[in-house]
Amino acid sequence: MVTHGAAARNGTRVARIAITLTGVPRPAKTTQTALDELDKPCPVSSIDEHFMPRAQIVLGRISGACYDSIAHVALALAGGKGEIPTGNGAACVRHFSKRSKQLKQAAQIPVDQRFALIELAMLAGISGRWTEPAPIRRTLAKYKEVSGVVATLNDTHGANLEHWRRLVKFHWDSPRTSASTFRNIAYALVWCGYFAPHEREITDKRLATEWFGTKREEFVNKRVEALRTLANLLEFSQQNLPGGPL
Amino acid sequence: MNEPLMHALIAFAARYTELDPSPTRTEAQDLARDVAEECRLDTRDADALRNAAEQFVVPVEVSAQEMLEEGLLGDEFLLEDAPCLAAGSQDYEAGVIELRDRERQASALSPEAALFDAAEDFAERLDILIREHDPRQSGTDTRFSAWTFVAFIEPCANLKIRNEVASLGLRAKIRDQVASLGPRAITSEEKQKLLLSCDFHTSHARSIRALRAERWNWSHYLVETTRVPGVTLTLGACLANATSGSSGVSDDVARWVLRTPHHVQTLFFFEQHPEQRSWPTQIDWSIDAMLRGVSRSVEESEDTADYRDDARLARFLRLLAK
Repeated sequence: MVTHGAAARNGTRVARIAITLTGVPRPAKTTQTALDELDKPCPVSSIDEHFMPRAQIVLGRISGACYDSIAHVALALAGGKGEIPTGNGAACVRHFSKRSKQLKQAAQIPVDQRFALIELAMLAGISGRWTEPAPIRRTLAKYKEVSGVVATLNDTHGANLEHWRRLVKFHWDSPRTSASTFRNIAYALVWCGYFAPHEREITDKRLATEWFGTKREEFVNKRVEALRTLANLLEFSQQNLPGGPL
Repeated sequence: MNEPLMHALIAFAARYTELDPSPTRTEAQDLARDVAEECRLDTRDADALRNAAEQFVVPVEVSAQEMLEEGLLGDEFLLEDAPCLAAGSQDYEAGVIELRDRERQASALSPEAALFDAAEDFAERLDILIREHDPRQSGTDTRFSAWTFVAFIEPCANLKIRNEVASLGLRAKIRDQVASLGPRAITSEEKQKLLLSCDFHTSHARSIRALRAERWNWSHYLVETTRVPGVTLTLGACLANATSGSSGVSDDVARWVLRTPHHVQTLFFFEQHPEQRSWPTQIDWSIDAMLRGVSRSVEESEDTADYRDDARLARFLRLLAK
């Protein structure tokens, strides 16, 4: 055993070994570097060339459908400004990663569909300006408004995305939908789609209290129920298809 | 698409949601049967609806703690609700206190508990060091305390926000700032000014976002629970890095880092590299090396424990300051 004193007497040892080891790239640094790069402003024209390769470093191997989901949201974030604003890129990729993992745990939804649901909700969030200050949403009209933004989104390219949109629309239109399920689905959609560069703005507590004016516990429980409803609707719409896909 | 079944499922979800408390599996099955009848589903669809009902039911025997462990409630609950849930309490503050107590009583190898304690320990010791080396209080040559302060910052800069630091020129700013202070101690106010002038908090905020993305949530937790945010973050970043398997740190070393106050690590560096006393430019070597296992053996060293003793630590600092 080498004691601290011995290490001190052999003063150059630490430096020598560190130099040797620092030549080995560490995954954490690679990811960190990619996240740092993602946080820089990125012109729309460079999303495929610069943004997405770094997103893939952060997320690991992803399918083409997942890739498209992120790219679409990146494009939406750029909006009319022509570039993804500083600080948005890394947060966007992390949002996908985090929500996807959470969705997997809360409801059995395949990864491509998870990304598509997050994409749909984020696109709705951007389109519906969910991050802008507004009175607390506690009325049925407001809950329905959330589903409505999702259900009426235009330009939902991609089969998974369109499938989700039509599911939400089906739910929105259904005479069987109650006020409480509108509320729960709104919880789930906002949870999926509310995006801000600072992660502490997207906590359950914040969304629950500041967006919906409810307790965090209720928000979480009802959101999980809604996600299961959506997962079941997805499954049914895929398994019970006498008339073809939804 | 089987629209009747889809509508029935929506109806089931609506009824299920309105039941309070959440129904058991049997009640959910009964409800599904009722809804199937109301919606006049055929036998096949009624069976499908009952199967779907299963998916809605959170088994009542699953405790909040188990849900938490499953990750069912999501990442942020590790930060926000873990104390409340783990303590089985709806009172968040009470839950926090109880969880902290539990953590302290837990195994010394619990990373979270060790990290939490280490952070508190670090903040406290830093305050002591600054007070001890404040010329207005001690009247001694306190040049070293400025070095110490920079040494606290440097490892973080070298570890987690290296790229950002380079882009901001943070290190150069720190050097200039500290050099302008001259051979004397820095006060808490100066420390804060220095941090602000170096835009250190902004850098850290970004760093912390990145850390959280790597599920290193505890560093964020430290920001909100310790008294010296900027500096404690240094510890948080280093320790969070150490706890990450992705950084290639062995468990043994991670545990050692978690248990060792950060300034003690810094002192190891100074002892190992006395020629660097004028400026700790290569502190990253030390920290990097420690994280990578070079100092694994130190874990067993009696000297490690010795330096945790405040009096001996202060003596060692004075020795270096001469």
